[in-house]
Amino acid sequence: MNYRQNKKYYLKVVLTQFCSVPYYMVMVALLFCFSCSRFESVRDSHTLYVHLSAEPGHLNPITSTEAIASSINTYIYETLLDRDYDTLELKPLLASHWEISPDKLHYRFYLKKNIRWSDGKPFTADDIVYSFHVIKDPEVANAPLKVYYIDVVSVKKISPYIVEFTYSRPYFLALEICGSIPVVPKHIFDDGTDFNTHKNNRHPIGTGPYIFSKWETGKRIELELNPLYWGNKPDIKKVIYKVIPEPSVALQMLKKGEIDVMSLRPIQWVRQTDSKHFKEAFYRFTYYQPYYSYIGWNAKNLLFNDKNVRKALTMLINRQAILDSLLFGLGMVVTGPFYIYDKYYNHDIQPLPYDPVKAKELLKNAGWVDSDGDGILDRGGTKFSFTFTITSASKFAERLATILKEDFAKVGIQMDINRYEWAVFVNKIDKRDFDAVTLGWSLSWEGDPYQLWHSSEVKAGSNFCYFINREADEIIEKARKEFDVNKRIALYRRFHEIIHDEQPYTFLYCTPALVAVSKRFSNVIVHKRGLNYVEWKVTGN
Amino acid sequence: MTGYWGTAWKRFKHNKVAVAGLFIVLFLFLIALCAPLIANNKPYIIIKNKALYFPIIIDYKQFEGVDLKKIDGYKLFPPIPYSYSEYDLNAIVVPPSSRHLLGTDEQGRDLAARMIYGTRVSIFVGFVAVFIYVTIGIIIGALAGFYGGWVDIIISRIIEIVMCFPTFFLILTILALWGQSLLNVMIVIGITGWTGIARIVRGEFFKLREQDFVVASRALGSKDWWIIFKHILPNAMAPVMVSATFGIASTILIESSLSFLGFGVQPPTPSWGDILSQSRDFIDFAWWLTLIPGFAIFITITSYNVLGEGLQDAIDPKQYY
Repeated sequence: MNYRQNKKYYLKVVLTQFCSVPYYMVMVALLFCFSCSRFESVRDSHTLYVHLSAEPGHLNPITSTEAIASSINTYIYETLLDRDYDTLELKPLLASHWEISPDKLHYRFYLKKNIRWSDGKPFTADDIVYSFHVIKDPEVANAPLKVYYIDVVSVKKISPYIVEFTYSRPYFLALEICGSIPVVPKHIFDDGTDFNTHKNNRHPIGTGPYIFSKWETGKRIELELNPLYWGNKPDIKKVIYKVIPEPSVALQMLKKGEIDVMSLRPIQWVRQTDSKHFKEAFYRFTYYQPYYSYIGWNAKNLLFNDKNVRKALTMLINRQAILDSLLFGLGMVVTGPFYIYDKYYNHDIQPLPYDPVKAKELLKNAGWVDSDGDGILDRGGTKFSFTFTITSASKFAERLATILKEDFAKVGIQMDINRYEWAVFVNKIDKRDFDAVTLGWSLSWEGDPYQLWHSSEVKAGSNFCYFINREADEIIEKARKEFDVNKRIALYRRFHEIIHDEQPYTFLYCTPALVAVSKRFSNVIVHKRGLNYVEWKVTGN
Repeated sequence: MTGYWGTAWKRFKHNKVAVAGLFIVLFLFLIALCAPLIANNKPYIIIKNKALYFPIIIDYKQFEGVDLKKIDGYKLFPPIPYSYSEYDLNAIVVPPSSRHLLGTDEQGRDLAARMIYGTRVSIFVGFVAVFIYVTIGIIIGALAGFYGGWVDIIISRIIEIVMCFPTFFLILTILALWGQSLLNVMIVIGITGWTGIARIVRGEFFKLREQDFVVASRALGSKDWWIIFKHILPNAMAPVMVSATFGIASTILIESSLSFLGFGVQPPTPSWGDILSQSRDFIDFAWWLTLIPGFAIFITITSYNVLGEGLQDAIDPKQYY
């Protein structure tokens, strides 16, 4: 009979899973088998194993928006100019030098002549002109990148090794934008097939020190030394990125020497790698990068379209206490949309204090009182009840959310939590289908708030919290034309004030990168821009 | 008590392991039912200024927004004076102690309180999902078994097709499409798990529909639904109940697995699988966060399984005659 068979099956499961060994040991063992069983038997000492917490969808620098993809692409693709790792000054990379016209509208780049793509074809001005046309092509899905090329009217090939960018109006970031234009090989991509789904999106061909060699979906991405590379050859012959989503598994693999580089989570930094034993085998680096995390309040929602309500919500969040406990104090509370160590950041602005009494008063003044005695604030028949959208990719988001739910409930704000898969989560934000959301944002070294905060970006761009403020728009537009750094600083500090006063986001933290690197490498230097594998030397096995 | 169920109960009583399983299951029921009385941050009674309050039952206007733990006067708290979502950032990942009987988790929430409320989720999911699929299984199986012929052929093929789907991945797919919530978990398990029951019921119906009492009822002019539900089904229920008991065990395990993978309950609702999942980060120094929920899942599932086994032995007459 069928149910008898069922019974035996279940009993077997129960016995093997729970009785013979404690359950948690089985669980760990299973997780480890899953990730370690296929580990290669011979390990080459000149190979660098890097931990990836998630897998990029593809590696096309023009259409990809993922930070993980760009961390791999820096070793495959190159740009005309590069920022110095320490001084952050722009310096030549694919271009040997450049000229700027006196009216600051024409930017002429002279390309180095000995550079070849990794398939042997020469790199010329055609590739840059092609890349520019692809970026501008409305069919190509890269809205966040397009924003930066709005004012670029044309890119002209003057000769095979000279290219000129023309702007319709001066823009202070123009040199950086032109110099950092992602360049893809025309002879590969311009074959009549759809750029968004081109087969080489997952088989990149670049000019950089490494070439792509293998991609095992869900497992690893492998890079090899580029034999045709025009610059100095790195000491590391091979870079293997291993995809391990579970941080605790990754840490175990790091400790066993199966990966060499890993970004640690705060708890791992404080509680699991702070031993003498660990420090004998690994360097531990902590350094700040332009980044902040935040909670965004969708101003389209009637609950959040009043800045005093948003202020009250910020004052209900005990940011320092959450930082100290959940993130072990690793980070700083920030108040605005710039990197805390950037010249534009306005240090005169103090974070709004954690003050539930004042917050309640602000809510009361805005009309939110509990008039029907059900414990939830209301105004004109609408209850103060909303959904906080988080992604299951972030454990911090979940912990933050449950704390907020408790704290908000104490003043009569009802908050539900909805947790989604990363892809679904991104889709919800793209469709503006959320009330409140928490995310992080990586800034570029020289920022322009246009992409995030200009009112033109509310429809399809990155201004998904509907921040619309006329003065802010004017400042953003004015600063784009302002070449005097000091004047720009004044403008942006005022902009920071406006953002702080409006609280479209509750800004949370600037958290440091926490990285562990195996000591079998030497010359591992923390630059202002971070780590650079290219300069590492192999010293041990 | 005599009769079919009476003799079955007599036989069941002799199986000590099964009786122990029954007691554990009943105990878990009690915990789930009384969860707010066992773990709550509101006291049972407060005596203040010679007035008596019952904050656990009644919401008093004057206590709104007041920390009841700091009120003067006599207070009688439940054994675990914490709610499942109440956090304490000064007591993060604290081992079991007299203050927190089972320790705390990564947000300083009391693990005992979360485990107790987690019992509710497990039992609730187990029973509702199994109820859904037993209902579906009985109706479909009864139709196939009672009418036979082409109805049976079609239904049997449908059952075979549904059985071919790898259930767990089907559940993951459906949850990804519908969004994750406890209700969806229950519905999905319900609509994917009915095939075993349907087959059992169909087999029993085949056996019973030619019996004399059915023929007699038919001769008296009874309608089909009357014969199905009044005469045949009660006699076909015994194997269904056994299968359902095992079903509850497997459903609890599925819910735990889903929560472990992050597809189950939405935070901060506590579920054993979710607690276990959250504790993965602390596996090397916070043993209580993995061991306790793991042990709870183990005990619960084992209890349902031995109970089901005892039930099966007790109601299967073939073993005795």
